[in-house]
Amino acid sequence: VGGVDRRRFLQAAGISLVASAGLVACESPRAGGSNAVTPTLETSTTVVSPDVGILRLASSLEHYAVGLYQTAAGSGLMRTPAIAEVAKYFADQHADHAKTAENLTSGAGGPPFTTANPAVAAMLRPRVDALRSEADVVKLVYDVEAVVAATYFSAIGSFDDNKLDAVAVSIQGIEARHVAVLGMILSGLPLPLGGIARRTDSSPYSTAGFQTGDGAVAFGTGV
Amino acid sequence: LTPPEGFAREDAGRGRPLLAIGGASVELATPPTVSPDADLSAFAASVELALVAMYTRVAPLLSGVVLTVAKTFASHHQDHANVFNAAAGASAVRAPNAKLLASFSASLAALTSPTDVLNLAYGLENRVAATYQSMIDSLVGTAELGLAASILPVECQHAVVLGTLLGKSAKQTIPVNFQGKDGSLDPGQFPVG
Repeated sequence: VGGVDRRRFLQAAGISLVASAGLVACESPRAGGSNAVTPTLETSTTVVSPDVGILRLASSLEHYAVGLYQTAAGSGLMRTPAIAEVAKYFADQHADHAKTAENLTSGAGGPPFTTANPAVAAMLRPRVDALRSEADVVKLVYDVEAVVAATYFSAIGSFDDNKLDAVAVSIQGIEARHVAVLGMILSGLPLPLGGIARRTDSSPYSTAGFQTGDGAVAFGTGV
Repeated sequence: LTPPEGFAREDAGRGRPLLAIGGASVELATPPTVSPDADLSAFAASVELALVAMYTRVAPLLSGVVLTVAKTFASHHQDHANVFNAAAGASAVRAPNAKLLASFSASLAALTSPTDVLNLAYGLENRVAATYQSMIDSLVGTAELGLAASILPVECQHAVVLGTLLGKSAKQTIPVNFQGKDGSLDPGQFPVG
């Protein structure tokens, strides 16, 4: 079984997922605003690992998650101390994941992506602007965590450097745990927290019993 | 253009081995394909079946949300065993991992409350998640790698749900920033059978 087969499988997954996520890939590095000076990944004299693109996407999503938790913390909407503590803890873990992805990007010969993914930020901006309650915040970060976990899953098997599979899986597992914690809060288990009404559309675990790539951000999006 | 007599080559268009004899070619029977991950897949299936057995044994002690969770997670583990058995092919297993079952049989016998059950299951789910993290380094096939990567996060979520029902905080159920291998089950110590 070769890397080409893995890549074909995952590219196919990515194509279908872009539609479900409703994202538009940004080919131009200038689309990132603050990343306008990001150098191109390949020149006529330099070839970097194709892993760089996946790693840059990973760090961009991690930075988005960090920023989202910080925005939520500063919004005044998170009034339940236990939930605020969770948000701070998860933001710190995402920052660690971002740093790891950046270091791996450098190791693979590419420029690290050190800011939030602009395409994802643009897509989710309306939901951020519409946040009105603690429940809104928890639901949004639950959805984002699920997207990030699905994106890592989509990357598994697509790396040229197979050792990166283990790193991606080790992060994916933590993002899945984040989904579970937030899903328990949204499900009101074991007891309702704060003023969050119990809902049934945010399971703390994959109801099918398997992680899927549904909702994953397609490779290349925003980076 | 004909390969030397008796030299087996692959038919580029179909991938089947041919034996060239003089000017003629004879198609060889394709040897059965055995996944290099078959043994690890069988091991994973045996571990999953051990968890199914555990949840089945403890069900009479449970009710309400905890019973629902136990039944759901048992169903997940049965599904995981099924897909790993499919990947294991001829090495597929029907029985739970005997050594793993034996390792917690004393704990099973001593269970008296839902909290006891949650504690046992919480520990096992975390060990299984660590086991998949460890397996990632050894798996060769794309399909098996994808299976492990699709199941590990679900075991992680099981652990968080059980831990939260036990009253553990997020920091307690996610004590590290990266899924690790601590507590992973070694196929050498927990052989299939």
